Amino acid sequence: MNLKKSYTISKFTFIEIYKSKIMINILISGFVLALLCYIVSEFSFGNPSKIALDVGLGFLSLTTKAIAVFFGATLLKNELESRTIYLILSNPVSRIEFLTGKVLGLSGILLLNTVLLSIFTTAFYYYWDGLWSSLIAWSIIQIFLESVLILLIVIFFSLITNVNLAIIFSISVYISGYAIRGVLELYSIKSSIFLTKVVTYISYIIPNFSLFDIKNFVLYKQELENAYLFGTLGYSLTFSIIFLFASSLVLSQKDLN
Amino acid sequence: MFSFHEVSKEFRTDFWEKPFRALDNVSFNLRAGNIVGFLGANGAGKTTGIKILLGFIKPTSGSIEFDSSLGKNRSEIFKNIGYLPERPYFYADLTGQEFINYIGQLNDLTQAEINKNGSHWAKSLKIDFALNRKLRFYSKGMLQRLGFVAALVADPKLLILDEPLSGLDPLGRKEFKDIMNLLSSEGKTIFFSSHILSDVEEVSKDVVILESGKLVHSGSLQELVKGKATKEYELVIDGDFSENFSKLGSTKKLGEFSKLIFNESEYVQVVEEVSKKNLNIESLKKITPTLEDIIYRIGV
Repeated sequence: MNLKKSYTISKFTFIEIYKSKIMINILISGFVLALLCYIVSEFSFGNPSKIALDVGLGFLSLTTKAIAVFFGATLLKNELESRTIYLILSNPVSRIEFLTGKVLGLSGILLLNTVLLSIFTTAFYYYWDGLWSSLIAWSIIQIFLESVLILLIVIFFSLITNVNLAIIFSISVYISGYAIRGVLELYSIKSSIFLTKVVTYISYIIPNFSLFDIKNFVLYKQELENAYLFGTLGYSLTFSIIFLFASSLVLSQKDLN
Repeated sequence: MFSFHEVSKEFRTDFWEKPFRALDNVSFNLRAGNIVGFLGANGAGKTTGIKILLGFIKPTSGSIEFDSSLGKNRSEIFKNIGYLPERPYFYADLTGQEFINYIGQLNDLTQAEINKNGSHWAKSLKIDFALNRKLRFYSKGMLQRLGFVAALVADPKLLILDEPLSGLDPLGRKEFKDIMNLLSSEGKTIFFSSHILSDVEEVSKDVVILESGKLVHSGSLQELVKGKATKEYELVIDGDFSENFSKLGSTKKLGEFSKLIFNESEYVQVVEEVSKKNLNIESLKKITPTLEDIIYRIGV
């Protein structure tokens, strides 16, 4: 695999999306976020900086996920339907280089969104005299990694089904992944060895998205073990590679009609 | 340049239905340095053939072999191929120049090479004035021209053009054909599909003809036309003399003229008759069928 080719594809994918209306959307989101932080902080009693951070991180998480899901679902579909993929694959570019480049390009947009909205969030946090904690940066990194993983899941589903179903399946995987650890704690599951085994096996296949949510630690406990933080980093990268590999496998076998 | 070896492609439209065969055991060899027309009516299998050639879809059976002069592996081979798809679609928010840069960089060209080749072909194809515009503001013909520039920017040895002349005005068609001839004179091989037979006849030396997914001819256009030539002549005489020749061939009145179609065996008799009656000959020629006659009327 030639990473230079993937880099070229990612660069022009980024430029293409950047030049579309997304930048305006991100900036509007930023102003909505700023307004939201201000209003919520004004109406809160006691600790406006925490409220600003809570709202900001929540909004950041929501928008990056929305970009990942809605842009991810059409990222390859549009290439196939508009046949622009022919113009690229008729050059010395393999399908995996193409796919990696497209994923990196859209990940660049996710990063841009994360960085811009993080600036708004932290600006308000410091405006209300919030204190710096490395967990804030970790939380932002986790949100970004989570959105990249969601992007890869959506792309995988978009290759095997249509856009609408890809979105529905991806949201279902996200909700299941977020809830699955909680399900294991339910009494009705715990009391059955069979159900415990089934849910445990499913939890190995579906990424556990609740791991990425460290907002409560940021807001209240203000500490988290490095092993957990780096472990989650490795966990998200492993699942991302698995989904990238699965998508490459599907794309390499697919007839590009 | 490349060979098709018994290539077949079936598409399954419905799980319960019999697969549809778009290509059926197609084998041919493309000679280097020629302009080769890839002919067939709509649905004959031309685009399917090109998609298999470029690896967009896999054949159900058979294989494609590229000449070693194009390269040893996929990457080397595709560096030497320029492709213009039918009705090309582009990234609407990129500018023309950005798109050329994109294709150039994928072919490992330096920015200086991209600028040199890109501006040369953009000028030749008269699209240089619009390179800083977003592609969403290009007309169909402008996109076609830009697609041709992108196909040429890496200086490929083999050009695969899918219906390159569709969507162009008559002037544009002439410019494209002139460039195809120029590229051919520089030793490049051009394989282009079209259903406009007069265009193919004008620029191609060889043709590959498909009909309902089956290969019906592959080889020299001249030989195809020669092989289908009838032994008939057409004589046009000033005045109405259809009755004079009614026994020699078929006659038809064309305004002030009379047209006679006769066989080679009757040639001497006709000439004698004309000279005896001192008739004014407007024209006398051997009937040579056009590619259109061969494909649509005579049959390959």
